[in-house]
Amino acid sequence: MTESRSIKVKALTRVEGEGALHIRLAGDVIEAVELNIYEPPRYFEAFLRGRSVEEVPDITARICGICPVAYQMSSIHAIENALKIQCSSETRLLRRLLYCGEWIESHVLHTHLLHAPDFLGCASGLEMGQSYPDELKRGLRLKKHGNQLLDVLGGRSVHPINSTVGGFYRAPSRQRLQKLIPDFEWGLQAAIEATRWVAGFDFPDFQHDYEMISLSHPDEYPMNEGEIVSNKRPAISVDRFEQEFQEYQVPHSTALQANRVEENSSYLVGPLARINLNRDRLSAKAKRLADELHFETPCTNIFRSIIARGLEVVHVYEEALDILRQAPALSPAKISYEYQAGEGCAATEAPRGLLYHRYVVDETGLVKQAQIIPPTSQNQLQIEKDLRRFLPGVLCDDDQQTARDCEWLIRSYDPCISCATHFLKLDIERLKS
Amino acid sequence: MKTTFQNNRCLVAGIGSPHGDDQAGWLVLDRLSQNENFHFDVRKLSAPIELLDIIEGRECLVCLDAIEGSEPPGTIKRYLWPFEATWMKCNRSTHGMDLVSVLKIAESVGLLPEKVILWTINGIDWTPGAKVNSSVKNNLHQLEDHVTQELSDMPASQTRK
Repeated sequence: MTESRSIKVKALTRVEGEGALHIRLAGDVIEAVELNIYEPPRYFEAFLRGRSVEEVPDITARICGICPVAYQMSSIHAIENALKIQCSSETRLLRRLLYCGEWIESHVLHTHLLHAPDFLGCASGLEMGQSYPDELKRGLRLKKHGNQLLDVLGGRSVHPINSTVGGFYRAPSRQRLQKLIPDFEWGLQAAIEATRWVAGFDFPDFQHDYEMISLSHPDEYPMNEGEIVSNKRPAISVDRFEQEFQEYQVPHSTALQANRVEENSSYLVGPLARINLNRDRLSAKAKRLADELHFETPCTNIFRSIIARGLEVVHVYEEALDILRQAPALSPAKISYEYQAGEGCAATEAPRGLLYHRYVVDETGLVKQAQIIPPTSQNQLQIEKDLRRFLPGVLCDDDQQTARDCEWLIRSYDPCISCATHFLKLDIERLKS
Repeated sequence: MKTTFQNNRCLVAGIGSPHGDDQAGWLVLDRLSQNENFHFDVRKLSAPIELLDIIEGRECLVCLDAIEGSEPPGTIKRYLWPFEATWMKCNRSTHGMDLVSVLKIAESVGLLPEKVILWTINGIDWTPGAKVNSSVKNNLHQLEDHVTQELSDMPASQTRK
């Protein structure tokens, strides 16, 4: 008789938000692998209906405490597209700088406190700090730099409030920006050292021929704009996103999953996809470091995302330094614009992958419809597929060990469950009277 | 003209949000900021992990946090580090660690101020958008007095305010 057993990770730790994992086995046969995101749905798209376009960036920033800038940037670009607003080149540069801050604080936090402990056999960042205090201290200092950028540009380090449709509410202080340069010069070297450190970890031999998706821009590493590229299919413009990709509900999760419309297939977004598709647009130092570390692309081992994050941190330090040295003056801080009825969409690269927004606005500047598709929704199906392939190699009698190995894989995606729980299908049964 | 100074050696941090009783620590900071005789650096934080960016070089850290527990709403307690906080409400986001974990990390890398004090006030209503519960609100002045008293022996001598 075949023995059935269930492995339940009731609460995933060291990921953003609340999720669980359910694995059902019949003997050695994996019957089900379900990433169960049970954090309550958050209805942000419904909250946005009837709000003025100026409120949208600040409301969407509240979706996530780790990547608020991503939500602000995708919403602002989408609304500016709807209103046909063209911002200045200085605004564009300062928005990239703001995004650099978010990539630093998010990637560094994930690397040092959430993911590195898995590779080092530590149960937590705290435990890791006891054996690797210098590395942790370096990570905390790097993370602080990201938060400092958010503070100077965004008005505060968490849930920044200074970005708006048309520019910034207040022009960032050039003096305060330039004062950050010495810290960022130190940070660039420290980020290189941190990336060398994580590249020395032992990685499971776990390859997969993913379809990788990211933005791509001809002149720069993707962040705020570009077309959507794939390693498997032709590039598309962002306004075709909803024709090519779709969200749908699964019974076991309050977060929607996403797949390719044509083949219902999974795909991967995030730093590994970005770097595979845009390696030649990394900064000079990041490129040299990738060569030194023999980081071959395409890299198809999701565990090596931690190196991709490190290389991206090096890139954004170098780019941030370039912009800080220019210290672009913003005058006016925000351009004026007229309301008009329209529809606009945009995608930007959140630290954990492509983030798509679309808004329909009316002639009075109120939102009539909103659509937000976060990266964790897009990766969720791929995570489940990876778990199915990964499990046979790590299944053992010790369910706790199996669970830890699965969490290690899940954390490679740096999932942001808080971002993903934004919708729940509502069925209304209407009884005839 | 009266010259005032701000003491940056000590940080008073309120951890919370603008929602329900979770805003208790922030409201006490508002009161302290309006007190012209209070010269210490005060910061409103949304998550304990933010402390890691702002405690380096401090001698003293005073945290104010609203908590869930079996005590009646408005109950005030003081804890001197090291303490374990089994009574703290469940952390909803593991990207944002709980206060004790953050303090332990800070300690492990030598960032923790020599003196760390936590003042807690029990809350009951954490509803988004709700006002602070009256039992909590009525005791905010007591918490303000405790903090003021706590820091009364710290000299005000650092940075011009």
